[in-house]
Amino acid sequence: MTIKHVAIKDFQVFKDEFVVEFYSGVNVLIGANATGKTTLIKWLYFNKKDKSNNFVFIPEKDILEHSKGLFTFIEKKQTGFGQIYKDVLINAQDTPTIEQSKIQKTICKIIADTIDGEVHYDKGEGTFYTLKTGGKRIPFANEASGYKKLGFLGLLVTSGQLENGSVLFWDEPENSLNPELVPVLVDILLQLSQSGVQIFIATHDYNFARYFDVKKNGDVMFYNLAKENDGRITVCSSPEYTKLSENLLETAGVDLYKAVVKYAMEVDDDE
Amino acid sequence: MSNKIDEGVLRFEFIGCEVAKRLDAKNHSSYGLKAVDIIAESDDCLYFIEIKDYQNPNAPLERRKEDYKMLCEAIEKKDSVFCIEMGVKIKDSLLQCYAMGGNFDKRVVYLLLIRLDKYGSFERGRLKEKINGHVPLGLNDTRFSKFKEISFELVNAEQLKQYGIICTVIP
Repeated sequence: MTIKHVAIKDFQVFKDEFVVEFYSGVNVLIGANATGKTTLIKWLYFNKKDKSNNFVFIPEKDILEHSKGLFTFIEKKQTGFGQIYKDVLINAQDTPTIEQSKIQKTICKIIADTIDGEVHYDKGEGTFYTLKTGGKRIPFANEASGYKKLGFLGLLVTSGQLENGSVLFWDEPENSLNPELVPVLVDILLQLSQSGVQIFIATHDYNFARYFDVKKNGDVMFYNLAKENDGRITVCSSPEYTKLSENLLETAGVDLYKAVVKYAMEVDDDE
Repeated sequence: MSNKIDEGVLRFEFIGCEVAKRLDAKNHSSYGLKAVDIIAESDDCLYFIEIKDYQNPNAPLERRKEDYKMLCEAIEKKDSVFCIEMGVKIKDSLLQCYAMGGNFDKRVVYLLLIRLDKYGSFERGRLKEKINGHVPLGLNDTRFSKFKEISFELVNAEQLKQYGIICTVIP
């Protein structure tokens, strides 16, 4: 399945009608806080899903570290975690053995090499762990946050939940990820896109957006969400990151640059 | 064989370069041309070097403010004075060198040295991105058979070493 035309009205920040055409490959959403990036991808996840395809949502907060018993609490509605987190746990625990395509094998190898292992689910314990090369078992609570992120992605690929026709939604994938791993993750996501997975990314990170821009090879569309003075949410899109108008990631980058130059040249506004 | 050239408070030593010369800005302006600060030639490379030394503790405040403004505009504006001037200097220097029978059967490297200790790789990257559009890198096209390979790098003093150029402060 591919999500294309979307029209939203009277939903949270989208009070007035909001219309957007999405791309079959990677859709990178940027914008200031409270412009609806996360709201939009959650709306897509809940309203565009049908039983014939895999929708996977990776939220900004890691939940697998707390998996033991959490699923039961969520089922009994004894926590404030919503359906998305329940679905994350279900997706992560569902680990059938599938025959992997060439791209899936490549992705899994990149992840295994990066985190030096693979993520597994212990059904008896109800917990996730990384099985490191060499045989050492690292509980998720002790694993590096960035590695958990990549490892979880590998788990989803291995179990066939991200394959041709699937849709992946990822909210702020840059969280807990060292900048040196950003190009690795971007490469993986572009390969997933080429294998037929439609991807939606909401990000605040310049590095992330820019790596998608320089590596894209035609598979990426950028969307800049903004809130107008009257509260309307508007969007502009471009296959080129640098052609997005009123791009706050760029503005923030320029402001940082100017602050550094001022600091380096010892120029004070008060002088 | 090495050459040493002094530019401001800096001394440049060119290891392995047969020719290194400091271009005379006054002479060049009389030809209607601008020029980079130094041209150096090794066995396999022709260097066009522009030097921006902002690490001068004795520079007056007004001068530092002007330089700060130029470096900021270079990022903010599509066609800033800084980037346009950089492109013109390189193009004019390339033209002069060619017209004077320069040997282009070797790699051409444009180097912009920004000497400012706290100006990091992120800042250099952003400035280089802006200057790229003004530097004649299009001459890499195979149609321009006179040129082998052309590149542009924005460096600090330490990074000059990889080109066989040692930059020190004159004692």
